[in-house]
Amino acid sequence: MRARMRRAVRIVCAILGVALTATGLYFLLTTEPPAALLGLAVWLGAAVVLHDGVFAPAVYVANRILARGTARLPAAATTSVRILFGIGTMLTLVVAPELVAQSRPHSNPTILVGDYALRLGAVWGVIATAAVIVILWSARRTRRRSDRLRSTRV
Amino acid sequence: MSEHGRTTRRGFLFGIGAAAAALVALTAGQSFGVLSPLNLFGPRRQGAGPQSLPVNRTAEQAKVSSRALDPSWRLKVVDGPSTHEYSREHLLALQQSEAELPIACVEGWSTDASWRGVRLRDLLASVAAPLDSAVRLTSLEPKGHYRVTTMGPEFAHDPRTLVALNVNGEPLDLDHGFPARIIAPGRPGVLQTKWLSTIEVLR
Repeated sequence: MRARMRRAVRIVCAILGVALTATGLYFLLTTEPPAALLGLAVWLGAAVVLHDGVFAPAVYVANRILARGTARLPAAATTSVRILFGIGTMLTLVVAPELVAQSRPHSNPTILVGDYALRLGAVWGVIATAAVIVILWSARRTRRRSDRLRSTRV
Repeated sequence: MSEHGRTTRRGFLFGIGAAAAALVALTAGQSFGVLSPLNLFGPRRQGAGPQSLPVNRTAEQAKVSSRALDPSWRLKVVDGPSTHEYSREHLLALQQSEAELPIACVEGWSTDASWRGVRLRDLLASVAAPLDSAVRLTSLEPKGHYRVTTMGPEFAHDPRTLVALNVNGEPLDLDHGFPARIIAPGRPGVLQTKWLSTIEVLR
């Protein structure tokens, strides 16, 4: 019964999704001039290249390094710590171009108005603190659990 | 969730979700007032700029300052062979209207502002342009992708579309398009022509 229900919901979602996509495509193709469509294709293509060529490999490499670094951590903390550092890596990748642009001369005083290096440092500080808390907390929980196991055995 | 360094599906999805949420929370404040205090990494800040409004392209970048500040500037409204010219004083003497509209930039920032000026549709009516006419807008800037833009009748005759002369209670800053600019609802920022030079009726 539940499986059947789940299947029905999935089918309805799929139909809705396909219908919405088709509506969007219809209006896109009927309202935009060819030059705009070409520009859109280039923009979307560049987004894919940037994501798959720069962003994804960088996050993957960071994740591999973390996998090695977190191998000795309590199992319960591993995922949380990796997510925290993944977020930090992602934010660093986003902020890096801002730092480069800020170091170059630019004549618009209303853009790049923040001290992004300081803020990124502060965010990494928060991430490191959160990671330490998660590790200590899960280590304590693991120790308590093993203590309890030992006491019941006696 | 994770065993022997392997990422589980739940861990993976949770990680993606958390990363997306963090990025939105720390940058979307450049467009959404509620998130403004959390805007650590957005390149713009709401309210940062002359007259509490950020600038996409400055007068200096557009190389338009001397033309825009020239006292002999006139806004030309062209309809076929006839041309009407308006000085800024003349425009200010016409009936003024107000509109609360955002500059919504395709670069990803957005800020609301109070605009005051002459309704484009009133200007078009004064030269007897038909209600279904589109307009071609030209800026004083010598170069730029959006120096000339076309505006359909649905925007040109909307009562909120203004030839703006003031923003947030002050005369337009040079960087916001002094002596006059277009502000219309539902159009991306690059099409809100600054340093307006000519309005041409397209019949």
